[in-house]
Order: sequence, then structure tokens, then C-alpha cells
Amino acid sequence: MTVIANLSRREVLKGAAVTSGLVLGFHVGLRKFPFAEAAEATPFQPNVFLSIDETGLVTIVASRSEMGTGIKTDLPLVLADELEADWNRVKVVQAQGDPKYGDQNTDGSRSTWQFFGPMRVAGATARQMLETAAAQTWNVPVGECQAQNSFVAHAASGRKLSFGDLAKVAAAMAVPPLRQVRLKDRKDWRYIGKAHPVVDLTDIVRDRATYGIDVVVPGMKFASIERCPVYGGKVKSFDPKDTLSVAGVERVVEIPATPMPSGFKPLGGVAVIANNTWSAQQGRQSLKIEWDYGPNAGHDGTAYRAELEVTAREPGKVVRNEGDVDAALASAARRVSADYFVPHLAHAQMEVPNAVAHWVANTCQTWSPTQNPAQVRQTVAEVLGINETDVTV
Amino acid sequence: MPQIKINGVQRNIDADPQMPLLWGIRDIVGLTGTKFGCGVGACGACTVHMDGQAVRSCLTTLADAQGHEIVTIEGLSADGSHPVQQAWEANNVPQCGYCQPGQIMQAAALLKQTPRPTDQQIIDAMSGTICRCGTYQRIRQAIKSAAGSVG
Repeated sequence: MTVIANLSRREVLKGAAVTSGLVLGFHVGLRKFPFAEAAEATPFQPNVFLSIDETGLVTIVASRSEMGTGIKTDLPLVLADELEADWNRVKVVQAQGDPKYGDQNTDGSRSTWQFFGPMRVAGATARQMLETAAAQTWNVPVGECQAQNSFVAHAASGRKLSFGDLAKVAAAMAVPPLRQVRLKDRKDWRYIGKAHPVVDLTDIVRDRATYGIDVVVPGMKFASIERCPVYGGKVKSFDPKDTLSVAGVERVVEIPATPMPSGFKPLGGVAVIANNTWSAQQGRQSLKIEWDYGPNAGHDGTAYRAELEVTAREPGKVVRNEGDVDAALASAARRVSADYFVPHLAHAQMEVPNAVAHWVANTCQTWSPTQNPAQVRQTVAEVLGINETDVTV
Repeated sequence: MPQIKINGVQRNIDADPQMPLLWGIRDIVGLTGTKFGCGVGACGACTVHMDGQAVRSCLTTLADAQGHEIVTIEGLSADGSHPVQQAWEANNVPQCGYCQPGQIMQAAALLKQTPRPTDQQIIDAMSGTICRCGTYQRIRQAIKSAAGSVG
């Protein structure tokens, strides 16, 4: 399920996070290519990049979003372990939102189980290429060359070459087929399964970490949006007079509601635009808005729950069917039955939802603390009526 | 125009004196290390020091801060060498990290006032700074390891 290509001399890397030496691109992910055959028949689109430059620096692109789970560190660690890279000589670069990285939607608690295997294969593939490069250089059997901590050693002769020394040779080599890739034995894991500081630790503690809300574009304006309290509702009318008299407020703009289901497109509301955050917030508090609550105006939580209790008992869509549940339940010595209910919940993340957009010459640069940068790109392009390629996230 | 000493530098802040110090620091002065979480003093992400005391900058106006000395996470140390920052690194405290400037400032103020706090004193001092990732165990560990080294 993992397709790997040697991209060392490919144009595809122009402007990418990794550039020189041995560069491998690999496609991971189960959704688009459920079978290796299908993947091979499709034009190769690598979605993860690994490079080793001639100084031995290993660069691994993190294509998932960090939200505190450690995934930006964990997946590169898995790759580095299989690669036998010295973690002190590994740089992790956060990917921008770009289809070339595949599905970047960091949701569903699936990043580790979905990427663990492919990251191992990628690391092991690069390791074998470096070992082969050393074997060729020394003219010895590859089986006698072993990678260890960013070096490849030949025990019999005591010779040693660094990954940096070997990167150029490996860059000219063909990628070994998947069936020839040997993964490390579990007992030889150096990083996997051990606690490790996150790559951003020092930046966070020394206030050098930039969060979405910290992005500053010179001359930028600040907006605060009052939204309809009911999903699906819209503005009937509003009076911006008091808001416009708040010092610092520059404009008041109605945001038309997207019809339900709105997906990630704008909800109805009124945006207050000011030259600082506080003025925008103050102005928002002075808005006088009359809402049309729309089709959900009469939404009743109790009735909705009753409705869900009924639908939950109807036959569902079968995704997987193993064994005979009915028979097992019928013959069970003891049966336990329970109903679980949870209310509607807000995520209550510490960083408030926010985004910065910079419109330059019909292109839109955006920054946002998002789980799904590709979705941001698509939605921004659709709402603004521009090409996705003119949106950066 | 409010005059406030921030991280040792006297500044004239060109803004409404009723503006919360948080927005003066972030939007006007441009120091973004201090974070906005709730705006109502319920989360602690915006904690800074005013004359050495931990205060919520979202509830402190520029007028309140006039004439006082403010220290933000940027001013705690020039190079991350403050004992609390060192302890935070040694104990691998942060996860997403968004609340951590507030946590660090709150902990630094606690240790300045109470160099060797008991568990209960730590809980009391830190209970107003919320972490959505749940790093509380390591926060307590880090405070204990830094105890005695904040003068």
C-alpha cells in the first residue's frame, strides 16, 4: 500500500520543503488507493517527503496537523527509527495544505494506525538504499553493511560512512521493491514505544511558537463575527449605528448564510471590522440584530433525542459482518444492556477558532489553526470564486 | 495615552485606556506570546506579571496597568533560562502548548512568592489556568522540580 519513488532529481520538488541529496516521496493512505496495483496504475503522487542532504541532515515532512497529540513528532520518529537516523540530526518540517500530501485531515484518531506501517516502510527503504550505496562504495556484499545512528558501518573492515556521505550515491539508485524491504526487529527499535519530547518543546517554552492567532500581516484588520444563535438561521435586519461609533471600528458587514447543510461554508452573521481585536469585540457587543432563526427555530432537544432513540434501533448500514451476534447473545449466560447519551458538545479548544487571510492580486494567502488545511483551501477557493491553486494555507 | 513598562521598556500605548492589557500587548505592542483564551478571566492563558504578581491581562485594563511594571512570557528570560522554563523543558510539559505561556507565568509568580509550595499550594495557585490537553501532572512535577530555584 506504500509506493515509494526516488525523486532526487525531479522538478516536483521545486519550492518544496526538502530539496537536495537523497529525496524519497511516498504515497500513504488507505482511502484513495486501497490496493497497491491500483496505486501503481495511477500517476504517482507522493504525499510524504523524506530527504537526506550531503551534510547528513534528515528532513521529514509532517503532513498531519499538530493539536497537542504529538503527531508532528511521533510519525517522523517512527520513520527515523527504521531509517536508523540520529534524531538529533533530523529536522521536521510542517507541510502546507497541498493535495500533493494527500489527505491531511487530522481527524478520527487515525493518524498513527494509518501511517505507522507506511512510515516504517519509508524509513526502511531509505536505510536499505544507504546500505546499498555503502556496499557499492566499498565493493562488499550489502549484507555486511549496517546502518546505525546516521552512519553505515562495515564491521569486518571497521569502515564507516555517514548518511551525508552516502546521500549522493543513494540518490542515483532505484528504489527497492516493497517485497525486498526488511523492517527492523521490534527489539531493535530505538524511538518507537518510548516517551520523547515533542519537536516544538523549546519553541513553546521560549514563546517562539507561532499559533494561528499570532500571525501578523502588516496593516491587517481584525474582525469579530456575531453569528445567528440557531444553526441555519440568518440576519433579518441589523443596525450598525452604535457599532460604528466605537473607536477603532471601521466597517460592519453582513455575512449571508449558506443554505443548510452548510458544511464548512459561512454561517449567517454580522462581522465587525476594526483596527484592533478589542474594538472589533466591543463593536460586536453594540450590534442590534434581528434574526430569522430559520427552520431550526423550533428545535427541541428532548424531541430530537427521542427521534434518535428510534432511529438508533433501526437496522443500520453493514460495514463489517463477522460471526453470529444474534446467536451469541441468545446463548450468553449474562447479558448487559446500557444506553449512553451525550449532549451537544463544543470542542472548547484553548485557542479560539481564528484565521488570517491576505488577498494579493487575486490570490489568497491564509493561516489558520486547522485540522484540515486542504478543506480550508477548497472552501476559501469556492467562496471567493478563485482557483484552489491561488489559495495557500 | 497609557504609559506602561513592559519587559523593562517604558512604552506609550496609543489606545483607549479601557482596552484590556492583553490586546494592548498583542495588537498594539506586537508581543504575541501572551495568549487569548476566554476573555473573561476563566482560563488563565493570558496571565502576565504586574509588579511580580500573576494577573489576567484580559481583565486588567491599560489604565489599571498604568505606572506598573508588566512582564510577559517574552520578558521572563532572554533565552529560556528562567528556572520554570528550564523545568518545563526538562519535564516535557507542553502538548499543544497554547496555554503554556500562562501556565509558566502563573508558576513563576507562585515560586517567587512561595519558593517551596506544598501540593495544595500548587493546586490552589494553578487551578485557574486551564489546559485542554491535560498536562496538569507534568505541570505539578515541573513546579516541584523548580522549587527553591526562583529567587
